Amino acid sequence: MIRPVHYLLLSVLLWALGLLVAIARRDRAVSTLGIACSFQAVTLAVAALTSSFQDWGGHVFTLVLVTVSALPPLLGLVLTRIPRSGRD
Amino acid sequence: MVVTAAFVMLAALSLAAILALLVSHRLASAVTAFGLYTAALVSMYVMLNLHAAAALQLVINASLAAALWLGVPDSETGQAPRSSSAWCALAAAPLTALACWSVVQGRLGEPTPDQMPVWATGAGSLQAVGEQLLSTYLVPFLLVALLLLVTVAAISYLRAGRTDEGKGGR
Repeated sequence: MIRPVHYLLLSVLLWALGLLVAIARRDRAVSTLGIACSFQAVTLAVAALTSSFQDWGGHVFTLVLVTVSALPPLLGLVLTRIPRSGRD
Repeated sequence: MVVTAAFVMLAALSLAAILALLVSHRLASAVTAFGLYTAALVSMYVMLNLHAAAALQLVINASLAAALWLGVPDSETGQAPRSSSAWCALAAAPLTALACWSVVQGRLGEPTPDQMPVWATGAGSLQAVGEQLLSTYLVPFLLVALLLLVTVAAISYLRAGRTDEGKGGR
């Protein structure tokens, strides 16, 4: 039986590895992907905790979390002007 | 048993994908690893019966990967953005839409309620999660928040130092 704690452990591992990618990689594009992965890992854990609720509130909450977790990498893409900085 | 095996496989796939992202030397391999990670993540959302979230995650990650693939020159090869690949993206758009539709309709998996993870037995609403977070789990919740804050500050510090080194080197 898979319980949310298993998703939580997996998300901790994914979050740490995503963070490692974001820090260790020099390429900003790959670093952005690492940030996205780590945020989505956190979202997965929260989604696993809320999935036991069958009401619409849990689903809306998860949708908001998924959207919010996508904002940092998308903002990073815009603010760091990746088309120019990729040549570093 | 099937759900457990599927979870183990998807967990292994996601871990392998993010490790591949860590060691990838070219943008193409990095985007491919990100695609595998997305597939594992979306499958897990489907297992959790969160079809709408799975579809949204699929669209967001596909957009992010397409933006990187089409707009960023490869730092290793120095090649220009792949404008010709836009046609490939256009060709893949119907497939992505079909995948989103099938995910929303729950065609990829229809888990029964007894396969759902159950947390905080007896809690029946989102309000219960909030109450648990701000009462029983307040200290871990604050510790995680502090950890995330320190992480963001550390990343900013490390990246700023690296940028200064790069400017000094030139």
